[in-house]
Amino acid sequence: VTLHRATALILLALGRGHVYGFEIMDATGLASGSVYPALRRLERLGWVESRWQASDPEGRGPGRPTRRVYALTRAGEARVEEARARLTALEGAARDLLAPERPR
Amino acid sequence: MSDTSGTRAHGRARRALRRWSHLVPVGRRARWLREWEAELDAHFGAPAEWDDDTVREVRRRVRGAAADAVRLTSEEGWMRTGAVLEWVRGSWLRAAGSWTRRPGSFAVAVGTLALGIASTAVLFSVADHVLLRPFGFRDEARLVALQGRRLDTGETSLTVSYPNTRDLAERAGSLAGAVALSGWSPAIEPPGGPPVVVTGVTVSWDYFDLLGVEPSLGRGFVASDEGEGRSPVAIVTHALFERVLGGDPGVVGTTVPVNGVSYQIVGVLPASWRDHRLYTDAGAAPEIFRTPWQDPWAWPRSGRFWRGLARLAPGASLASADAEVEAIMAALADAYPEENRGTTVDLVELRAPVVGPARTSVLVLLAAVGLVLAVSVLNAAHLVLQRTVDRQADWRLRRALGASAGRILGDLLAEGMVLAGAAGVVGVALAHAGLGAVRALAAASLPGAEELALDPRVLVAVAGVVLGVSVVLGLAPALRLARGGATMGADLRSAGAVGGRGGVRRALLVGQVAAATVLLVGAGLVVRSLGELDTVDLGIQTSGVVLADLHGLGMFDRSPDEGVATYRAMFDRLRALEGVEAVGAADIVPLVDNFSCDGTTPLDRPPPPPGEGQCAQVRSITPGLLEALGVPLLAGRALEWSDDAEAAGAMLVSKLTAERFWPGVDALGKSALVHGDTFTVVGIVGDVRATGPAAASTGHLYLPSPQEPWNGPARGLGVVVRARPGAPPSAAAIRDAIRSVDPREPVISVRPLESLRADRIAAFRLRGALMQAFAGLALTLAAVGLAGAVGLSVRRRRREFGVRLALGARAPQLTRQALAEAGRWVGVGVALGMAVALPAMAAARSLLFGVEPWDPAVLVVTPLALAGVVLLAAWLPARRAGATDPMISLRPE
Repeated sequence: VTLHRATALILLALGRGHVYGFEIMDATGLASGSVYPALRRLERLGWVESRWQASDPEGRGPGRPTRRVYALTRAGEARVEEARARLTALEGAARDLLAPERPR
Repeated sequence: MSDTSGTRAHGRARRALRRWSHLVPVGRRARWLREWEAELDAHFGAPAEWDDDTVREVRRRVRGAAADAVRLTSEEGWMRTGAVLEWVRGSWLRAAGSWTRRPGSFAVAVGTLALGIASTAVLFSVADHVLLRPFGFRDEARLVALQGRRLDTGETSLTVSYPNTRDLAERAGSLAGAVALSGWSPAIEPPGGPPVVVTGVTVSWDYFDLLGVEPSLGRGFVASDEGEGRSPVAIVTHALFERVLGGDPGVVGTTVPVNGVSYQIVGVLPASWRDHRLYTDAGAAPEIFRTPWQDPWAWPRSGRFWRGLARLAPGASLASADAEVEAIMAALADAYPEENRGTTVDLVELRAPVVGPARTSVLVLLAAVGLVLAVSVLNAAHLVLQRTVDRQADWRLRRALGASAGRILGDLLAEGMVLAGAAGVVGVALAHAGLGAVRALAAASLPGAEELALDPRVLVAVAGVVLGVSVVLGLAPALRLARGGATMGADLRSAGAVGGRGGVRRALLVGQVAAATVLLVGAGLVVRSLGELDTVDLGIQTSGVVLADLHGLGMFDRSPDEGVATYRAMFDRLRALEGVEAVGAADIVPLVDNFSCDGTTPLDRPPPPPGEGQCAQVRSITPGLLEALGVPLLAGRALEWSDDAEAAGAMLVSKLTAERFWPGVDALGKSALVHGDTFTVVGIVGDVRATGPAAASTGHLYLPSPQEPWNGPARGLGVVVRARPGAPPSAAAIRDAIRSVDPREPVISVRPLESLRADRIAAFRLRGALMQAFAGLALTLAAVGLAGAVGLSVRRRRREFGVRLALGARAPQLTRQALAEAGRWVGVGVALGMAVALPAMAAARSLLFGVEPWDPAVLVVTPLALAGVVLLAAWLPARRAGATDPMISLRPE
């Protein structure tokens, strides 16, 4: 499976302990329209699992909707290093491409 | 301010999410919305505290929600296809399995449907062949046929005169061309072989140009091929080229003797050329074409024995061209009053000559077969509904175990499709066999019948029927089921009872009986018509009479005197055969052919105004013919051999002709101008229905063949031989006798007149056979349907019957009761059928003969017979009502 930039970013965000969809958006800067499809893809691959939050950790009262929590599976954790390498490579490529612009 | 703007943004965002959620597939919608709402509420803190940046960010994310919902739709769509496939496969397996557990009802349902599908496919093929199949000519929508019409009587005929046709071609701006064609009976003498008699046509030189057909070998006809002094040229079909001319392209350009004249073969038509019967009523497809040997205007303008075809000019409509033709014909009537007064020409659809007579009967048969299909579908639906009743427990169980209504509906549809698919396969096989039978039956009455075949479009039509039927079969029980809802079981049980709430099933049964009634009435009237046709007196004797059809080739190079001597010698040989009583000949023997009447004017009385002349069929006959045919001599004398070329012109007229030509006076001794010569009436004879029993006599006028050589042997000769009853000479003996006088003379056929009479009503018989087959089918299906319904009703009510038997009811009483209920349905069905049948038959009156649509015999016998058969079928299961074991009422269900 090829790790796209978005997928790699999401894997790293999950590895850092960001567990909600909107948190992952904040952490990665990705748009909501790409985060959720990518999460579903990762779930189908078996790298991510999700569940409905059992209780409200912030002590909010009843009636609050429960949030969906995403977490890396063991297979997903095994891919985090690969994602890091992929992003580093992408970053290097981006730096090179951006270089001529710098003197300005 | 930020306070209110934050809450407002929050509300907007939630509404947007709800809106977008409708894009999400139903199965995931709730979860999707829940997650988004939870994130929206939890992530950004209390909406009241949202600042402008937060509001912008919320807006951005909610826009993303829309994109996500759309993505989800397509992801789900993919998964859904897979699931549907799984589900369909499961349904089909279950459907097939459920049918194999009930082979009996499966076989009955498949058989029922297959019969309906087969009869539909057969009739579709026939209808398509007759009414719809294109001829394959270039731009054929622009081609029209010419039809002659008498202004006084409105009588139409498909024959016109050649000079008028050519005048129309030249004067009518709305016609791009007009051609004429007429029959020709050529005997080809290929090198080294015996003469081959084929069907031929004489056509205007531009005939093939008008149709847009080009020979595949050699050339087409050109203007100089037609007219005075032309050298004889012919174009042959590919089949004739292969069969008779050896298939050698070198034959193009060479000459072949045809009827004793050397014809140059200038062209061969492509193998794809098909016979379209545009030109002749001949039984066989024309295979050789020649051009007329004199100029178009040299033919008699009154000689209306040509078929005419025309092509509409670009931009002209049929109506505008027809109006122009009518105006030109009026001008031609003024210019040639003797020949044209009182007649005109109409433009009609090209197909009219071919299908005119067949159209009504094909449409009626289509309606009939539609009824058969309807009955068979009703019956199959009924069988499936019965299973619905039987399987209610099964479904209740599955519903209880969590099967969705959709899944059960899918299973029902799959069962319907398995059933209809199997019926489609069996039906197509049956149709294939049925078409073979129709080909054989229709050979004499349907042009091109030998080409009848199931073509792909018919199969597509069958597939459509199968699809429709399977939906009906699947939905019928599903509707029941859906209506049943929670109390499904109870509802279905009562549906099974006679007189219960089984409205749908009762309607199906009544419909079946009604359709069968309509068909039986139709079949009854057609059969009565056939009976009437068989009793019609043709005015000739047909039994024991044989017709030998001579081509006339042997006569071509003889003088008229030698010709007469030759056939007198033949008659002597024939009379010498064992059992032969009388022998004679005519140019056109009754029942063989008919020609338009023309060119006869009675003398001895004021001449009628032009165009209102009397009409009689002119025949050229030898002495002995009328005796051989058994036509009675009513007054005067018969024709003698002494009425020869040297003697004064003598003729016989039939009673009708005598009354028409010389009303109120004795025709004997009166004279008439026929084909330009004067003939005097020497005898009056009986009238003959020359075109068969279905059409009245048109009146005949008989000239002695020796005084009419042009019309005599040169166009062939029908030799009629009458033998003593029980001792007809064999066809071989007749051929030998003829050949012993002239070995070169081809004898085209030797046939009993009975078979000619039968051919003349072949269309009636074909219709009769099909109607009987359809009516029989519908009756059988209705009987099966009713028997099944009564059987089911008895089974459903066995508890009740058991109780009543236990309480002292007698068995025959219960049987009668079960039957009486069935009788009510049948009564309603028959009444409904009769109400439809009467107006339907009145509309199709032209297909009947000698029978009124409200024929009392048919109206009384048909319903009684139908009710009898159907109730007999119902009686068998009804007996079981009385045979119920009373113990059953004690057992738990």
